[in-house]
Amino acid sequence: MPAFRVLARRAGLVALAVAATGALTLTAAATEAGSEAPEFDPDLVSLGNQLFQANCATCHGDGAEGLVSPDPSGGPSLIGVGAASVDFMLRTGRMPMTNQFDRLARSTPKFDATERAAIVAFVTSLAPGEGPGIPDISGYEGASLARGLEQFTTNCAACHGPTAAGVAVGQRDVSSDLGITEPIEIAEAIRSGPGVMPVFGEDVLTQEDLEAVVAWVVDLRDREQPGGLSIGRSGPVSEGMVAWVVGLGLLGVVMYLLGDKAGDTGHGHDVEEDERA
Amino acid sequence: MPDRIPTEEQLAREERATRWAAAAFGVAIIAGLGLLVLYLAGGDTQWEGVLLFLAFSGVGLGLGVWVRVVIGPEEVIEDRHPMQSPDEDRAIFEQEFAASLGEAQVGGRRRFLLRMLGGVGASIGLAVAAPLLSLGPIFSRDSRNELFVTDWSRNRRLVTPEGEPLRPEDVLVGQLVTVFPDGAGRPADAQAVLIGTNREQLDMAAFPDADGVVDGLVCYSKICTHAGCPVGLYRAAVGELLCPCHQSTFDVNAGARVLSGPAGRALPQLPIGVDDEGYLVALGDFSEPVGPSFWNLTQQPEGDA
Amino acid sequence: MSSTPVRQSPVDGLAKWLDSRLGLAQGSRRYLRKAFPAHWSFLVGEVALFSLIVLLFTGTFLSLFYSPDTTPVVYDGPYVPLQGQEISAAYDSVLRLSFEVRAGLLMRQIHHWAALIFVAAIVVHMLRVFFTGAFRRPRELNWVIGVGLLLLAFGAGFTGYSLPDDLLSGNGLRIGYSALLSIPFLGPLLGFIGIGGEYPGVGVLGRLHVMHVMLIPAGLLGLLGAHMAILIRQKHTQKPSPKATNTNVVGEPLFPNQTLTSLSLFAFVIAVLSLLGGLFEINPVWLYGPYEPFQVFAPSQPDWYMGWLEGLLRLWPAWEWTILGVTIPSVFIPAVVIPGIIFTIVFAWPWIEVRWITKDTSEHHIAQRPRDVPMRTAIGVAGLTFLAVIFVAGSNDVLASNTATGLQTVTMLLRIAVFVLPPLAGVATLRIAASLHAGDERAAADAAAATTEAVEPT
Repeated sequence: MPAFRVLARRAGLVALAVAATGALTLTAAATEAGSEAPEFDPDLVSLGNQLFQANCATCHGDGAEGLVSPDPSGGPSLIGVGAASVDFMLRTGRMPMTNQFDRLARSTPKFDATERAAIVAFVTSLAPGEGPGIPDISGYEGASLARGLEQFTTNCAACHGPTAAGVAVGQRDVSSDLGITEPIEIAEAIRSGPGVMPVFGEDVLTQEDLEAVVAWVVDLRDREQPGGLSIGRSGPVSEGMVAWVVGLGLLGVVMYLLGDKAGDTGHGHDVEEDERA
Repeated sequence: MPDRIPTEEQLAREERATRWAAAAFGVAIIAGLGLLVLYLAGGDTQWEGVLLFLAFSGVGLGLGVWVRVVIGPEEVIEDRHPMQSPDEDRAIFEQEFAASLGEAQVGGRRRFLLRMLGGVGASIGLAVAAPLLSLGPIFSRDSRNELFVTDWSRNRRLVTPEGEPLRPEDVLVGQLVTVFPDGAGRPADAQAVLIGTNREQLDMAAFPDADGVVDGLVCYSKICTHAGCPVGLYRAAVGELLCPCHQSTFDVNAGARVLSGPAGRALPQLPIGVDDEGYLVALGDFSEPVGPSFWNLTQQPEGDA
Repeated sequence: MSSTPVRQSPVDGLAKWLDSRLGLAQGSRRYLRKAFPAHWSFLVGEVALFSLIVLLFTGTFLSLFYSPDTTPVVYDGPYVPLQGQEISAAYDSVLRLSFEVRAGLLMRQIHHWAALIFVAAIVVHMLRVFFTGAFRRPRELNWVIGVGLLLLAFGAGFTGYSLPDDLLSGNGLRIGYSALLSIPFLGPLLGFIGIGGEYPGVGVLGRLHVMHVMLIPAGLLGLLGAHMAILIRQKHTQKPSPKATNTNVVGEPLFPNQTLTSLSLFAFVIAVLSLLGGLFEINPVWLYGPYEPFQVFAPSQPDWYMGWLEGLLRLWPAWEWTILGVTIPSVFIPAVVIPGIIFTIVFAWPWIEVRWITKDTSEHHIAQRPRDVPMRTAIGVAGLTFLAVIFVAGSNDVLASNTATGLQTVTMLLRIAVFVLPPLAGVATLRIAASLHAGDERAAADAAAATTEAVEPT
């Protein structure tokens, strides 16, 4: 499992590097801080184009310009969404969707690291410099947990819950359980705001805050539980259930054994009562 | 006592039960000592819980076996009499009462005195209870206005919880920032959400103050108008703010009117603008009193808004 | 007491010493042989009593470490994620109690579990009393006192829940204040008096603390004393049997049987609460973070016994009217009026039943079977169903997440259920109970059993 994580993280960095050090010069003004005027490898872009046409164009259109609803298969335009968004969607298997009516949800990723980098390169090449790039969180392991907890509580807990376990946040949407996400995915989601999630730009949630939030969410998973079993960590709901089922359940057995019961042979009157009934 | 003659079988059973009870008490003794040692050695919440459980369930088991098996069930029958006193007792009491404090002895004076005593109770009771009012600031003029006003005022900058001022371009479309009035600390009633929206999706007619929107940036009170929780759950793609406590849902694109859930009125809008240095500022206080409704919500006492 | 010869022990010596000064032996025959009906369901109330004792002991320990102080301090304890953060002295004291005081976390967790079990046991005890008609004359007074105890238990729970000053408790307090504020004409006045000004008020924790450790426990102990004194005076009800009549009590003697049984149960209550306190994490306030009025998280639920109120708030539609300048806030009806109606009915039930259902004002000491009074049982089941639906609604977001159903859909279904299910459950219960009762009567007639007990057919 750790080996897999390292691999995945390394793959992410490779993708980042590849996307950033291409040969093709497509200059554009960098409107977003953090995404420095990128250059694209033409081979990568053309591979990305092929993959995009085969897997994405049905909904998003040949040029990623989006299909207009009310076309039932209408997907949004991807021009200018930024590398973080595309990489997040592909990396977590949210895209491509098998059925456009499905809920946006994590599933098995369809593409390997190279293919993903290619698609990211293709989509970003359509609007270079626009939208959030893939964030660099290589320093998150040293980030301040205190700051992470504070920023998490201010910005994330309202939807993801205090323990990042996820909960229903609307008619069709359930906030993700962050216990299973890769650190880079958390950062990409914060910057790009996938699905109904809001975006958090660098001017308000700084790079330092970003790394701190990632550090806190990762820390939360392995944080020891001084109180014992965490019973689902959904707060008073599971606590109430344990109180009734385990607590009162055990005491119910004790009471039953200690007290008299119908049919108890120790007491004559109970036997007679049973006969009467 | 019971004239039951124990059979051999019963005696053997009681013998076994006695041993069981003794064993249970033995476990309790060992667990108790273990608990003490564990505590002195530094303690551990889980093991302490388990040892306490062993100790007390040992006690419980021992006592239970003792009473249910060693002593065995026993039956007593007690008489029960009606709760009401027998008639002659009642009669005697009434007679004695009448002889001391009754109408016949004291006459009309008794009724008069009783009424006076009632008056004493009411008067002193109210006077003695009145200082409870000191618990709240209810006598000052300001307190009557407090629910209607916040620290926002014209040209006051919007700052993040960390105190950073904001320019319009700092807030992206689909971003939500909690803001406070600059220099006021973080007063609970002034908390507001600044949200970046798509300008073309805004329904300007629905805003109390359409001029208080800057370039797709809208600002509302963060306190739910239902029960006062912070409305922190923002569904950016659909432009809905949702209160995590009772799920009141507000339409960010249309003056935060209520879409669903129990809230009775829209989130008050904070009209905003941009100052000379390019920072976001308030144009005044909220459009309405913030937070959960109260009875005289629509009748602000005289004073500034 | 035993027929075997007894060796003189220090205990016997002490007993003799005491008797020669207090004359205890005279009364012992009367009191020690007092009959206690021994059916196991009569022990539920004792579980509540013993939980309360555990609460008092653990609570005393906690109060020696807790500080109801909202002054900001910088945390420098061992819990890394909060180091350097500015938090209230109250939250700080709870963290220190949890992480630095030996056995502190265990005490805190046992206290919280005991609170949950305390209210649960009260509720089950109350259901037993209700469905067996044990509240009928002469026990109406003890029913009323019992309901008062339940209300005080709610108060104790709510004030205790708010003390740690963590993010979950802060928002609970916020909702309580909003309910107070919603009362027409008096709301702002009561709200300001309650918390010392506009939310978040001044010194709220100090006030809650005084209520939690002094006023409410005093009220609980006072009412409990009255509850027990009346119980001893009136003696228990008992299950119907050929021996049990309205003029006797058949049961186990207070000493030794009932005493040992109770002590055994007491030990088991402590044991189970310790097990929960040691092995199951409860209210991990260090994960929730300190309370800031602008922060919140989902899901936010109160402890279970407040779930029904929370559910009412979640289900109630957005109805808010302003009539002649007077606004009726949307929280007023679900948070104040409906609970008021529910508790008025519960308090007055013994009289409501006499007036409209049984018309029976005579004294009763024999427990009824639920089927004996089908209408009461039906109304009870319908009421419970109502409470169950609104209780579930208090966790509608958790339910929606776990069933992959839309949040609004769940709310809508529950809004329908709250009207449909209680009458259905009530009518079904009425029919089942009535037919069981009729069956019993036929069987009794066939057997021509001449029973003397007072089973009241409606």
